[in-house]
Amino acid sequence: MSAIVSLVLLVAVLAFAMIRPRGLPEALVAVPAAGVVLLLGLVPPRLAVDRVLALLPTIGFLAAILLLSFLAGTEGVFTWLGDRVAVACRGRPRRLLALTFAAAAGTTAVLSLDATVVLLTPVVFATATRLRLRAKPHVYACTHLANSASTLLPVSNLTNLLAFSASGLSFAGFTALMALPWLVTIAIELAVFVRFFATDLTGRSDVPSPEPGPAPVFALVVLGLTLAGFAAGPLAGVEPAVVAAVAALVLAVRALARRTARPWRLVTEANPLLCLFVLGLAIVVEAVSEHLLGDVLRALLPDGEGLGELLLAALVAAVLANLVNNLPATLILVSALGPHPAAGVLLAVLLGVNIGPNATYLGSLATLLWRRVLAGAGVTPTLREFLRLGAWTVPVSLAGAVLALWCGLALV
Amino acid sequence: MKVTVWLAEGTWRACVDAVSTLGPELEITLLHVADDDVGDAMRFAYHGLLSRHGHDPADTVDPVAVPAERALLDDAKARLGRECAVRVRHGHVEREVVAACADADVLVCARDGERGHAGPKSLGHHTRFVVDHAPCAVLLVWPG
Repeated sequence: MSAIVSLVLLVAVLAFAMIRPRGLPEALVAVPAAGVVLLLGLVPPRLAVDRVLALLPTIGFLAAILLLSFLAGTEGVFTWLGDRVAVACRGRPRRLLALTFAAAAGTTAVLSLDATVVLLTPVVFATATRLRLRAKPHVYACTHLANSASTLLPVSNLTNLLAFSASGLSFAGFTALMALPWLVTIAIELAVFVRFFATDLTGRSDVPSPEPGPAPVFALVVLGLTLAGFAAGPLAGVEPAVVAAVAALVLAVRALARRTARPWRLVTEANPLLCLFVLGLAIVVEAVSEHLLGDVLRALLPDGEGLGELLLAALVAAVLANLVNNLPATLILVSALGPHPAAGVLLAVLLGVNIGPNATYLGSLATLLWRRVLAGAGVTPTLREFLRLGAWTVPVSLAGAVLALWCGLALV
Repeated sequence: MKVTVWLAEGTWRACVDAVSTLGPELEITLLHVADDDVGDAMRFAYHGLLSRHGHDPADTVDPVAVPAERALLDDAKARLGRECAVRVRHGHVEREVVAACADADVLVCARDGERGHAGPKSLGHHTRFVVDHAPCAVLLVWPG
């Protein structure tokens, strides 16, 4: 009975999040569903409190990094990056693609995938269009790398953050193990893109590239210090959430002083409803894990760190991320893995939930497909092309990344 | 003779230049089709992020794409240097091009891709479809 109730609640939360009737926020169902879980005793209150307390730094980080990305955008960081890329590509589409890969991978790693999807992609589109080059390969590169290049740092993706505290790894340790898989993934994606879009990477720009405006020095320095703070902070006991919050605060004060943003805007950009949604979802997932999926996934997920076991862990994670969404998938898997999972297995799971969603296109990829299926809209030619591109990139890059992770683990 | 010239980024100049080989008495239409796929891709990626609202990146497409399209058509008209009509469409490029040359006698379009390699890869997905389905004669030119 508990299993059925938990599952119904999770399905309700996810279905509402995917369909979003009348654009209502996802938290509207997630938070009451979490309340029902607690009321029915599906999760002991003490466990729920522990879960929420454990998640708070992650949620705080999420709010801070969303705000930081937004403020970096208002300071002109992404426009400046687009202008630099436009000049550096010298009108050649292949060079533009390579530079877009670098910009998207870097943005995703430092400011997380949201920044790439919401802030960098429009700039890349504008850059290619103004250079009179076909924008499609470059825009698709951003959308793909927002997922697949989000494996490098614990801060690159909300999924990493959710798993990081359970991994028992330090910030530097996590990054060291994920660096090779990250590079391998990007290299494979680039190789596939160059072939897949060979006929779109054609001709040369026939218009002069725009004069780059002045560099947003202040924001760039803040971002550089933030990155340094992520790396060095943990050595001094300073959490990444604090580093991101301080950086966001500095840029927020500057934006308020220069009147480039209003206070209310800063609140909405930190997306408190998303934070509530994640907390509500985490509690509902805990119930599902406790009463239904936990045993199944525990039986399915390996606990050793052999190559086959890592591949299996990544595969299970990738499939789950495509079925639901990588956010709930990560919560379910982290919960199923328990408090002290093998670090290698956890990282393989992260490779699965981060790279895997590109298979059904930006995973949530699944969200979109489900939304269309539910709306009876079917699969459009655009979606068919995404699926074809995903079929080319995901299996190879996932296998390559896991292999790289396995090599890294062997070296440690 | 009614000639439709399909202008695509990267290869449009060769198409405009090829028109002069078709003779003097021509009714020329310059055609550009904006690809809806790009905006769709941006919107899909955005929807993939649960619970982020208010910044759909696809909303930024038109303000950039429309002036860029206008500039390309202006440059093409100037390069052609003779009387012509201009037509813009958007949607799935290949289908829009085929539909746009319903009343044309000739469609001028360019190969894409690397010119160093022979073979079917010199026709992109859209061009392949257009060559297969255009209801008129097709003049396929090498990009300059």
